[in-house]
Formats: sequence, C-alpha cells, structure tokens
Amino acid sequence: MRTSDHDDTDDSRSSGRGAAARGIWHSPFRRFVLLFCLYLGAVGLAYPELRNQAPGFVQWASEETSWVVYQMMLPFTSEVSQSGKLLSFHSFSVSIIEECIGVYEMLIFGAGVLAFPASARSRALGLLMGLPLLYAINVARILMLVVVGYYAPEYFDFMHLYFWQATLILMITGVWLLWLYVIVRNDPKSLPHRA
Amino acid sequence: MTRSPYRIALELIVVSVALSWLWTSYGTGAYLQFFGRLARPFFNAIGQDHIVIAFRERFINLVPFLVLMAVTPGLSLRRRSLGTLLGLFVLFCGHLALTWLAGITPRPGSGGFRDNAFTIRLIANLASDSLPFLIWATIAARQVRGLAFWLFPEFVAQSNGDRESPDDSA
Repeated sequence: MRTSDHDDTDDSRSSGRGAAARGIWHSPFRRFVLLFCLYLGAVGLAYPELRNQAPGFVQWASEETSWVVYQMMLPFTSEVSQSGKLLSFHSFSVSIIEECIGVYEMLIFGAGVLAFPASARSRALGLLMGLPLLYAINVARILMLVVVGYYAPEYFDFMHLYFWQATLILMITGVWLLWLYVIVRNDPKSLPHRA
Repeated sequence: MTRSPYRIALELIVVSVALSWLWTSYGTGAYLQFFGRLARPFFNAIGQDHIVIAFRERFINLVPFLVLMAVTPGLSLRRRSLGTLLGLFVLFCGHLALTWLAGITPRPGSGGFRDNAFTIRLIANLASDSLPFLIWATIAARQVRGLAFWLFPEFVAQSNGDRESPDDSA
C-alpha cells in the first residue's frame, strides 16, 4: 500500500513535470526563449572553434573593418590614415579590437533568427540580410566615434558606452523585428502562417 | 489610449541617453561600492575569498533593462515596479556570476590559444548581453504578445482561439 502510494505520487509528479515541459514547448513564446538560450550556447561554442580553425580571422576582420571606415571617411577628409587595426583622424587614433567588429551582436542576432519558427528560406534570408546590416550599423558607429573622439573628446567615453552596450539590445532587436516584418511576415511557409 | 510607435521610439532614445549619462557620470562608482558590499560576504561565504571584485563594463546591462521597463506601454504600476526589482535582482546575480567566472577562468590566451577561458567568457558575455531583453520579455509577456498580434494577427488569433483581441493585450 505504502509502495503503491509512493508510486502514485511519483507517477503524478512525473506526469506533472511532463505537462510542465509540454506547456513550455507548446507555448510559442516560451519555446522561443528556450531555443534562443540553446542556440546562444551553440553559437557561443561554435565561434571559438571558428577562431581556432582560422587563427587569423579576428586580425583580418579587425583590419578590414578599420579599412572600411577609412574608405568611408576618405572622400570627406585627407586627415585620415589607416595602418592595420589602427585608424587615425587628425591626432585622434583608435584601435579596432574584436568587440568592435560587431561579431557578438551577430551571434546574438543569429541565435534569435534560428530560434524563431520561420522557414529555412526565411532564416537564410534573415542571416544574409541581418548580418551585413549589423556590420553596417557597427561601421557607422565606429565612424561616428572617431569623429566625436577628435571634435569632442570629452564625450567619447559616454558615446562609446552608449552606442555599445546601452543600445546593443535595441539595435539587435530592431534588425530582428525588421526581419520579421519584411521577410517572415510575407513568407507563407513560415510557421505563424501555417498554424 | 495607445502610444504611437514614434513616441515610444523617442522615449527610448531620451530615457536611454539620460540613464546612460547617469550611469557613466555617477552610476559606475556607486554601483561598484554597492556590489562590493554584497558580493564580498557572498564570495567569502562560498569559500571564494580570492575572487577580485572589480568594475566590469557589462554591468551596464542594468541600463537597457531599466530603459525597456520604463518605456513599455501598458504595464501596470505593480508589474512595472515589482518586475523592475525582480529584474535588477536577477541582473545582480548575473554580475555575481560574471565576477566569479572571471575569477576562476584564466585570462584568454594565457593557457595557449586553444584554451576554454575564451569560450566560457564569450558565453557569459553573450548571456549577459541578452539577459536584460529576456527578463523584460518575460515580465512584459503581454506586451510582447501585443507585438506578435501586430506582426502575425492570424496566428495569434488562432492560437488563442480568438479569445483575446489585440486591444486586450496592447
């Protein structure tokens, strides 16, 4: 009797746990949060592996970003120069490091795109559209910081912090919402339309 | 009455600039003092006396969370205030975890290029960057559903059995 009670309790507990797990999975919002965390962990593991496989990647990406900003400033001023990761405007110089190339924003955005119940085509388009857009926003951010750094150095720290962490989530969310609005909403194969 | 998206965007900009300015001017020092007072006894209690308590740039994730909680329309005062307190507590716990991880993992590169320190710190940083948004989305789930109504009205109406209208959840 005691054993039977114990089994009943165990059964009801396990069925309760199963119902809770099903509840999480059947709620699109909770499923998205769960998948987002899983994909974030996955891209967090994959990116260091990419760095290991291609040791020069970060150096190359930093130098390319520095070069892109230099090329964008060149038509407007001759007081700009670039050497490797170092970018100088008049007497003000910045070094482009790994966190400046927008790769963290891209990883979070990638996890958000993969976790959303959209078709493979929409996800691929999301990555093809979103990653360059995030990169472009990041280039614009560096360009603005370089100009502020020379003309108003007292505001540089504030602007650097504000246009990095404070607006990072808003920037990623903005591009992600744009993807939902422009691509997923108009894709009949994406899950929200099939339900 | 619902607020226009332009007004919400304007509020986002104004509040985020103001809070970021407060954070860079006064917040960093004050928060480090507050954090140190609570974190030191905590680390001592769990036998991690060697952990160095220092300011970390990612502590600024308090700012986007406060901004989102402040400008989200349709949150009741109770949910907004309790949710803000709960979120701040979770973010504080995240800061404890970041500090602890920084203390127990070697600096990236110190153990050769193929060490785990970079991976651990990267995942911690990604989680730290995403946490404000995830906490906000959980607290403001109703408002997020309102956004889903706007994007995918057919889907949300069907999944809710047409029980709610967009206005109810906005």
